[in-house]
Parts: sequence; C-alpha cells; structure tokens
Amino acid sequence: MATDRRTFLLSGLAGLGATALLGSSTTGVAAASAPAPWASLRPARAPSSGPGTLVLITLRGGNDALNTVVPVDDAIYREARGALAVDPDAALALGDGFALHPALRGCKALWDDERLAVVHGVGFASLDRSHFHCMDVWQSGDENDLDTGWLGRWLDREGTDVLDAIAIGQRLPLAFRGAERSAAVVPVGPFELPGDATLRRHLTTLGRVDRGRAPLAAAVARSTADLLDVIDTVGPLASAGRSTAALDANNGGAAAAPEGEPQRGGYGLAGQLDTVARLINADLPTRAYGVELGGFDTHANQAAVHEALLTQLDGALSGFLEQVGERPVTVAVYSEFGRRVRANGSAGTDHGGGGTVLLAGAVRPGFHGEPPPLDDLADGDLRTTVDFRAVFGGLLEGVLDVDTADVLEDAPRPLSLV
Amino acid sequence: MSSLATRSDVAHLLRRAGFGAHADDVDELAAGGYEAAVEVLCDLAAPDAAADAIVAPTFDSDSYLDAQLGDEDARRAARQRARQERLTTATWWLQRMAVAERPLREKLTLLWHDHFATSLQKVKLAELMHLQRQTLYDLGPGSFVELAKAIVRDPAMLIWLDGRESTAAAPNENFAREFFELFTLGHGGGGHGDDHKDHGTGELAKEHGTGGQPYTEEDVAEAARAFTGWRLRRGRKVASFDERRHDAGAKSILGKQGSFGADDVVDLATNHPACAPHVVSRLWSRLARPGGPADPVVIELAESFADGYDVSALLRGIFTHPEFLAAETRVALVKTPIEYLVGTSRALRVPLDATYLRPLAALGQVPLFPPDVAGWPANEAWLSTSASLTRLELARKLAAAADLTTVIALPPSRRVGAVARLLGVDAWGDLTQDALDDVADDERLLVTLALVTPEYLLG
Repeated sequence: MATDRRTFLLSGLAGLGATALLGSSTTGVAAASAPAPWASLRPARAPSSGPGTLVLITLRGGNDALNTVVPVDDAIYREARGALAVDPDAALALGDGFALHPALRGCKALWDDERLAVVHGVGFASLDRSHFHCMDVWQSGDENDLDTGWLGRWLDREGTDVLDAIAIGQRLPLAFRGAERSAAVVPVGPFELPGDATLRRHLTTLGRVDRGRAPLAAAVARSTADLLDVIDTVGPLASAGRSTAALDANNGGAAAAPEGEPQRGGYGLAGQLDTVARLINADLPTRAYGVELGGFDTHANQAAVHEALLTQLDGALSGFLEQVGERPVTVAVYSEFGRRVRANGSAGTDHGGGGTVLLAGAVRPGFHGEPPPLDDLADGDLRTTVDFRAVFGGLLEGVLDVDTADVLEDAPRPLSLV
Repeated sequence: MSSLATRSDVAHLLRRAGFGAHADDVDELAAGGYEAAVEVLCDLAAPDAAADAIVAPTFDSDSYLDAQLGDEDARRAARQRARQERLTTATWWLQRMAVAERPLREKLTLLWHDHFATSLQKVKLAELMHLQRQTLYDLGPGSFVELAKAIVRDPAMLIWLDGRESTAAAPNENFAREFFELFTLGHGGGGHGDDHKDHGTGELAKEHGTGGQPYTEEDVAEAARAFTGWRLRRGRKVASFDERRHDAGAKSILGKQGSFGADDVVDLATNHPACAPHVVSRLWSRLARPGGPADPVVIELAESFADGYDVSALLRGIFTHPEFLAAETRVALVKTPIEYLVGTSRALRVPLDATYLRPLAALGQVPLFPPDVAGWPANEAWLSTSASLTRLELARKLAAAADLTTVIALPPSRRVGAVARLLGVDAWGDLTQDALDDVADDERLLVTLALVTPEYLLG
C-alpha cells in the first residue's frame, strides 16, 4: 500500500543499505549466457554480480556514429567524409582499426580502464531516415507502433514502487511509459513541495484515482499521487547538489535556463547526470534512470557542433562515473540513427544508418557486434549488423535481471554485455 | 437564456477553438446558441483590437549581425540583446493569446507554429521568428497550399532546416524530408500515424494498416534538388532566389517528371492523396481528440479539405462535426502548458508578463521554442511528476494574482460551484468535490487546488 511505503520511505534512508537494494554483494552469480561469437576476447575485469542500475542516455537528432567510433584509417571513410573525416593523428586509438573522436578523452580513459564497451552496427529492419519513426522504435523497444516503452513494460511487470525508475527532465519519455505504471520524472534543480501540510493533505485527496474516471483523468490524478510519493525522498537529494549551471558550463554545455529561455538540447547533460549520481549514491531503490542530450541533427557545419556535443557527453559521463564510484552502474548511450556515410555539401551529414551503442561503467568491455562494412552500403548507409533488441535484452538480463521475452517481442538472443 | 447543455457545449468550443474564456464571455456567446457561437469564432477576417493593442517588440538584428565581426565584448553584448529580444517576443505572443478577442486566430497561429515547428534555439534572431509567426497569422486561415508555399521560402525555416545551405552542387535533405514527413504527407509506413509515440498520442494510427510510406527516399533526394536556390543574404529579412544555386534539371517527384522548383513540390505534395488526411489529422488531434490519418472522422473531413485546402472551412467542419461534441472528445486532451497558462489567465483575468516564461520552460513549452521540428508532444507526455509540481507552483502564482471578487462575495457553501463556473468546468467529480469543499473558506487555496484537478487539466 502506498501509505505503508511512504511511511517506510519517510522513516529515512538509513535502512536502505546498498547491499540490500542494489545487490552489490560479491556472491552473486556471473552472467550465465556465453559471449557472442564476435565478442571481444578481452576478458571482463570482474564478472557481473547480480542486478545493477541502468542509466540510459538518449542522444536526440541522430548522432554521427561514424565520427564517434571512427574507422580512422579506412580509405572509403576518408574519401566519403572529406573535410569532415576525423584527423587520424588526433583520434584516440582503440584497436581493430577504430579510434574515438578526439573529444572523447574521458571515454578513452574508461576504455583503458576496461569500463567501456562499443556495440557496432546496431539498428533494426524498419530503420529509415525518419527521426520520429526511429526514435519511437528505440523508445518503445518495438517496430510495431506500441504506445508503451520498453522500460515502461518492465515497470508494468516488475514494478512495485514509483521510485523504480526515474527520468530526469520535464516530460515523460515514451521509453519509461507503461500501461499501468510509469517512471517518476524529476527535474534538474530544486524539487520541493510548496505550501504547507494543508496543501499536501488536499493534494492527497486529488491524487486518488476514482474508478469511474476517464483514463486521462486517472492519469492526471496518478501524476499528483506519484509526485507526493517521490518528492519527500527525492526532493532533498535533488536540491542539494552543486550548481548545475556551473557544472554544465565546465563541460561546454548549456545550463538550465534561469530566465525562461529553453536551451539547445534541453538541460545540460552534466546537471542531469549529477542529479542521477546523487540519487544513486543515496541508495534509492531506483533501478533505471533516463537522461537526454539533443542537438545531434548535424546537417550543416557539423565539425564544431559535433565536437562540442561529444565534449559535453564525455565530460558529463566521466564525471558521473567518478561520482558513483564502484557501484554496479551500467550506462548505455544510443541515438535514433547515424548519418549518411558520404558528407553532404553543407559541411554536414544527412540522416543515415550505422548506430553505435556505447556502454560504460559495469560492462563487458571491448567491442561487441560486427562493424558494418564500408564497401557494402545500403543506399549510401551502413548496414545493421546487430538488432537493437539484442542490446536491450543484454541490458534487461545483465543489469535489471529480467527475461528479455517478458518485455521485448521477437528479440534475438541477448548480447552478453554486462 | 441558454440551456446548461448549450453553455457546456460553448464552453468546450471556447476551450478548443481558443484558450477558454471568462464565465461572462461564455454566457454571452452561449445566449445565441452553439451554431452562432461557431460562426462568431470562425469569423477569422475580423480585426482583433485587443490583441493588436499589445505593443509589438522591436528588433535590432543588424547590430547583432554587425557585432559578430567585432570583439568579444561586442559579441557578448549583442548576444545578451538578442536573448532579450527572444524573451520579449515570446512574452508578447503569450499576451496576445491572453487578451485576444478572436482567440481562434491566435490558436490557429499556435497550431501552425506547432505544425511547421521552428525554434529560436537555432534561428537565434527573434525578428525572423516574429516574421514567421506573422506569416502563419496572415495566411493561416486561408489556403494551406499558399501557406506551405510561404514556408518553403521563409527565412527562419531556411535557417532552421538548413535550406540556405542547400545548393545545386550539394543539396542537403533536411528540409525536403521534413516537408514530406511532417508538413504534408506523413510518415505512413510501418503503421505509424501522425502523432509520434514519443509525443504522446496516436493509437488510432494502427488502423492505417500497411499502406506504406507515401513518398520514397528518391522523392526526398529529388525534392531536395527542387528546393535549392533559396538564400538568405546576410542581414536580409526576405529570402532571395538565386538561379545559379538552383538545380533546374529534370526531376522525378511523387511519380511526376519535370524540372520542378519549390512551388512545384508544394503542388505535387498537396495533390497527393496522403496530404489532406495528414494535415487534417494534425488539426483534429489538437482541437478535438487524437486521431490518425485513417480515423473515419479525419477521412471524412479530409475529403472536403482536399478540394481547395480551405483552412477556415476545415475549422468549421471540425467544430460542427457531431464527434466534436461527443462526451469522450471532451476528456480526450490534456491542456498543453501554453493552453493552461493562457486559459487560466483569461478565466481569472490575470495579466501575463515575462515571469511566466520560467514555469513554461520548466513544463517544456515556450512559444517559439518547440523541442524539435515535430512540434510539441500531447497528452500523457505532460503528465509527469515534474510537470505536476511545476503546475502546482504555477497554479499558486495564478491564484495569488487572480481576480476573485465574485468568489469572495459568496458564502463558502456556494464557492466551489462558482469556481467551476469561473474555470469552465461542467461539474466536479466526487473526489474533487470533497477536496474542494474542505477548503471553501480559503479562496486562494480553493482556486489553487481547482487548477490542478483532472477536471480542469482536461478539456
């Protein structure tokens, strides 16, 4: 019952030990499934030890995967990209002919520390060049127009608490929306209930869901009830952080807008991840977090824009992993699609295939999947070699400890990623 | 005197065809009956003295552009000024919406802004978005074909979707793709409807079946060639056509061959059978209830719309359709943050100023700053815990500034009903009634709570 749970939460966080809730004990079982045949031979630093925490970073606009994990010496790449090709001397070599974009210095350090994985060629059969179709597929975890998200269906099935999943920001993203349960959404910055106990008491009444209500009316009531359920726990943690403006300025990103002007790509990624780190470090029962960075639709003058975005991603990601230390946290970074192999004439790139998923933190490090060949393109695009559901399945089983089939339809065998 | 049912219908009409209204205005309009109310609202040619009385912002774009050539201090000062212009322009539009005597004209302009979504995040110069808004306002009630032709050469759009960078030698596809996918034909394939899932609505799209995408990758590439040649010269507020940068060669677009230019692509797209259902679906989904291009009502309305693309006639068709007044339609939309703010401002006579931009930004909807080219999301996307808190704070701010004279004059026992009438709510549900009855002696708290009820947030 909600009241019991709230009492439990109000009783303080002291009782919520990391071992009890995050399963950070060392006696857990190692991931059972065998590594995919093409998985790196590089051994994992330590076997997975039971359920961890998933942090999903959505890059909106179609990140140029080819200029993120770069086939730096490939002649076809160099010719097709021309002036946009990453300078091989500046790129950060990973081996196997690939190098990270020079802006990803923190990621290179993670790679050297065996805390970074690269999944090549991730996509799906209906991947086209539509931002909106492709983002819907990634977020719903399905190609058939579902109106629930993949993590939302996990919440519907396994969820017991409104704090099971938290998306940072303003609006509820599809990935975190279930038919019955959805993630709490926590803003960057202050998160405190105004008014006094009277207001709270009356809001509790308004948050009750009347059976007779229309579905949307019930959803309104539920959002009020959920707010009351999360704010006492999350509010003090979310408000206590460093200035997110300073954080994001340091990372080359935009700060939260104090005067009402929204920033490119929403709130800065470092500020969002700082909030996540503080919640994780407070041992909340939360198992999945979502953050976003926009602005990757680089049709024109790509080089400077992309470098700034990757710098922001790199700084925010490195800072975040430092903050959460040794906790079993797995970060997954994806975008709706990649870019066309050949640059366009506006010093940019048009929409294309070639999705690369980056995984950081508690991961099986190295390369996963098969790099799509540059000499065998599909209508100018890199081909898909790994179905995205194999990646999500790997996260569901390796991090959240649930069966892929419970959440994803027609998923291929999950990759062993964690 | 109008019947209660008519008053309820007219209040619903005023919410959807506008932003809601003060109770006295609802009474006045309802006195003539529903059909007359539709005619009054749909008279889009009439001037709007109240909205026009809001002083329009002024711009100094030239000095912003000049400063780009200057030193860092000059650039910083120019950026600060440009930022102020953006905030002033967004506030100005909110104020127009809040006082408009012809609210449908402002609502329609906002819907076209959502449809041809362009953001100052990239455009930067408020003057150019101010001009685009004016284009949407001027041409919005007329022919959709003419509106689309203005958009393909709109300066802000040329910046937003990189059209000014696109030349015969090197066309880029950004504008051409979104022109087909979002502005005219819809994505079609994969069973997807027109309101993207990540944007919150659209389960009806499934019925669309496997009709397939109405355009191909080839069409996008060829249309990109046809759209080349439009430039925005430095400091200019009007695009110019540069023949040397235009690809005048033969093209094949949507099954037709010719040496097409930008206006030809608009004609080809609007003659395609997918266009009218797509555009109607967008407006029906925002004004009535979510419905994809295969929704029977959308198909019915699209049949007339396809003949001439008369937007005013379409609006009349929407508001007089029996399904518009159906019970489920009335609870099918969550007020967007702008609708919520402007509607409350109108109902409670709260003047709007720049301090309201901050809560709008926290909710995720500031005019002239849509999140991407698909526009704003709908419904469930606005119902997050984060949004609940921001709405509560906004409700407190609005309730504190509200004119509650008529409520205070009443004994507490009659106040809950009076607030319902003030906010255009037909009736409170039992749970809500209980919560509000409890606070009837504290009129500010009563109104604050009323503003966060499901009954008020829907509709």
